Amino acid sequence: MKKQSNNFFLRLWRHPKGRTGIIIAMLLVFCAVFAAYLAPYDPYDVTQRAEKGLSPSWSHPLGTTITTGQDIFSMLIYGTRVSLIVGLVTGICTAFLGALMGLLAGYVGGFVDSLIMRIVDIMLVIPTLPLTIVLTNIFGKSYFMIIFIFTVFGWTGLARVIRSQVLVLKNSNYVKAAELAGASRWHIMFRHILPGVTHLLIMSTALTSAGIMVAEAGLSFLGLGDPTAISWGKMLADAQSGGALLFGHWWWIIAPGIGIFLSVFSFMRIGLALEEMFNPRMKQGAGVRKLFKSLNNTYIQGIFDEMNEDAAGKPADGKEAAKA
Amino acid sequence: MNELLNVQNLKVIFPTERGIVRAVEGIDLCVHPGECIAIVGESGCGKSVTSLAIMKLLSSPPALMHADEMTFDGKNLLQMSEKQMLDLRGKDMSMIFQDALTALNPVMCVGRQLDEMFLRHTKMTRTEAKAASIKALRLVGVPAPEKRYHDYPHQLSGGMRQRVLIAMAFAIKPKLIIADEPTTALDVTIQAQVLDILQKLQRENGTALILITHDLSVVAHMADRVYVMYCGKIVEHAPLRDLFTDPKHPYTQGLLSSVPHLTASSNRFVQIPDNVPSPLKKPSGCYFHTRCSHCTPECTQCMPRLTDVDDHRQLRCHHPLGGEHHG
Amino acid sequence: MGKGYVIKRILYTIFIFFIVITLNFFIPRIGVEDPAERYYPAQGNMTDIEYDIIKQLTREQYGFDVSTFQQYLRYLNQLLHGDLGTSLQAGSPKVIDLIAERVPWTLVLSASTMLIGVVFGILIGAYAAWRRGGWLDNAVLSASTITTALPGFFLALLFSLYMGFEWEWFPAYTDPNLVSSFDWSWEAISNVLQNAALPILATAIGSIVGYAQSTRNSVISVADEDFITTARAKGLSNNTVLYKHVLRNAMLPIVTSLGMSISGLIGGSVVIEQIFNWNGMGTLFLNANNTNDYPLMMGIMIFLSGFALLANLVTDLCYSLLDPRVKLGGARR
Repeated sequence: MKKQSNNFFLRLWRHPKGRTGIIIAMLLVFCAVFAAYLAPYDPYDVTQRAEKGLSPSWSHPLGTTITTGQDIFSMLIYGTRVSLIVGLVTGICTAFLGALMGLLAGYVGGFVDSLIMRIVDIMLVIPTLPLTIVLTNIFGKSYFMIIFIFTVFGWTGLARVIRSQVLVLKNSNYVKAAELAGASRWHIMFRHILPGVTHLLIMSTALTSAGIMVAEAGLSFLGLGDPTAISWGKMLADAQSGGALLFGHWWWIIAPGIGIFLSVFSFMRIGLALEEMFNPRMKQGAGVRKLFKSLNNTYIQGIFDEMNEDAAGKPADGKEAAKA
Repeated sequence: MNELLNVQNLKVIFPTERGIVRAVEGIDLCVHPGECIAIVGESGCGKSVTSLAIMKLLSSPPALMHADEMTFDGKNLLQMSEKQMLDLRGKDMSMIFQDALTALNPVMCVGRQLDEMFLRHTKMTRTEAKAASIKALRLVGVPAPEKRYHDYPHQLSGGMRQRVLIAMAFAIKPKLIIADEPTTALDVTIQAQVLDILQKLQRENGTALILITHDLSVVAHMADRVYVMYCGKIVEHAPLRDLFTDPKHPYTQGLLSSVPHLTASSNRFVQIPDNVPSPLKKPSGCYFHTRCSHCTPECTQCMPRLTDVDDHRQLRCHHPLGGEHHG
Repeated sequence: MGKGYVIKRILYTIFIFFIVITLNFFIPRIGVEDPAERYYPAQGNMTDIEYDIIKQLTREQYGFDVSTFQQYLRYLNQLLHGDLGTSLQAGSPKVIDLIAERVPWTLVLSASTMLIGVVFGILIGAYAAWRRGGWLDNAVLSASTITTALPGFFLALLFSLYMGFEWEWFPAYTDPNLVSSFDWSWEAISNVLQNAALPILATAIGSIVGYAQSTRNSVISVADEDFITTARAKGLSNNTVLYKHVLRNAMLPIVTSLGMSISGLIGGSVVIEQIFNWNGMGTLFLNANNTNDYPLMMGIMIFLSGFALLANLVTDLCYSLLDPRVKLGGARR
């Protein structure tokens, strides 16, 4: 098991998209964990506020906010925490819920299946954003609420994918064999079928996390996140209401935007890399084009010449060394 | 000899990220007017790629193609422009594909798909084309063709769909038809019916037919001459009778003995051991040596040449079967 | 497509709508004994007695003085008569009237965004796929990574910053009198267009790229199908193959995503409306939230879900017209 996972990360690392994704994601995680050491000021500390509305300088690389005089660069670094935590936790929770529902629907089938599919249909028509707004009104604004709502509404797509995959696996010989051997439903579901869809779950976690990071920024922008936390979406909202547009303080807007872009971009890269790893058909096209451009005529001619009838009848001379 | 189709030294490769796939490694083919030849081999031996290459339907990328000569009906296919090829395809040479469900457009009724043949290559109007299509459907034994004309592919049975494809291929009475596994997706009884129709139309129209298949019983039914392909090379080429009664290549013999009812001498169902080697990693020497029971050190090191056994037969083997050793 | 399929599909839609309505009914009742507390939350300066009186009045006014089940029946009855409830705003306007007033303004933004996205996206996507690996294809691929990772509202802020404030091409904030002064004169229409320019621009980019990418992927996967080889083997020209065989099949998944964007037409532009102060459904909802106007919020929710359901229904029926393989009663998505 250990060896498998090592191998898996190695494969992701070897994938060009995967590598960019991992590098950026690791940098972001580093920022989030060591925010207190990396940020020149503590933006939560009211005593560490400078003059309001400063332009970028050596002491304040991205200036200070017009409204409170907080250091924007420090806010940017601290903001990584919210984005990563909300994105990752929701991604993981969604994967769990989606897997469970998909497995139940696909493997148990019958009544359970139609019940879950009805729930999916209902989830799809309920307007998520207005509901989130109402629920934060009822339960108060917090990131827990956001994670909860996104999980409750986010599992449907994955559940469908898992369900159809499970329907395929259900008819495979090894599951049939396990059934004949008298294994229990739960045992088969989690021991035999679940491993067959793990790759979908990992992929979905990465892609969902990326999507949630965008959505979280939007909700924080609307002021639905924890009002005391510093997040990129809220920074943008503050920038807008605080007059960044009016005074042309572009750095106050660009900075959180780049933060959102990098975090979403990195997770999307990882997700896409995984998709290509698990489903090589996705890759065709661009890769082959590039390959075609890299081939030169003499090389091609050489390969064609090797196949000539004259080449037959002679002993092989290690000509099989195909370009890797 | 005036061949209808003459292909010399056809090669097709597919560069991929994992290496170069050598799909077809220099094969020679010739087809005379009205003749039926068969290209036989297991899946992945390059027979389908060959057929697409002859029609010049391989797109590049992903494929790269080379041939010393490729003439059809006196025209040099290699020098023809894509525009000239468009007029040739469907009209002078057409194709029948393996799986009629995927080979027919799912959202277009089969009649309209047939019409396209007439509209493209004749000066018929829509109504004339429709009449011609219904006639073509009747000719391949589709019952109630006026009704079936409006059906979508998924509404027809496999046999009916295959008939539609056959009707399509014969629509303009081409000189050559390439049939790629025309009956593989069908039940055995339907197979025989479809093959009968194919043969009937071929004889009536004097069409030359290239039959591409892995199924030697189909070959026995139809072909005049047989090319046996393995890993992108022709390993044996012989008239049908000679090949069936006196196979010289161990691979041919293996193929023959895996068709139970064809070999009178043995009732055993024999399979060729092992699988076809990956096209990315073909063995050294003779490609078949990994699966051959007559393998010698020579076979593992040196690819045998395709040599003439007699006027009609060619063989690529260091140790031909059946008595006298050649070369 | 059989009649039975249509009827079955409509009945199912009604069933789902019923469940959504029921869920909606209970939302303001979550966590409180009395929905009156939701309608009028206690203010700091109120004594308990005062608050009790207010609650009592609210209960009577909104009919919370009967059992929950009776309230539920009354709610269903009210909805059945097309009444989405009465807002708490001054003058007690009907929710349905407030919605009707705002929907056209939201549609100005969202429908034009969608239209631009669909037209340009499909054209670009089809061309990119047909010339796979060409410059346009690469452009679509890189643009899609950027636009999916950049939230639309961030783009909107940037546009507002530069095109609105810095260069003053378009108004950065919507004219507050835009709605009240609108009278179908050319002047008023051009005023609307100017004010709508930035929000539309900011969202249309993502929409174009989104449609271009899904069209591209769809066309590419169809182009690899066997029947395309058949069509080419018939001697049909590249363009005929593209228009008659590839596009028709490639459009099927696009119809599904079209349906999804239609269902989001009305409720989907909350953030953009907020940024540009655009008086549409999004601002209506946010204002309702800020004033605890639960009847208005719930009414909008019902309206949005109903609209989404209707959009899904129409999409499904259109799909089954386009794809002959969808058989009677075959639920497919």
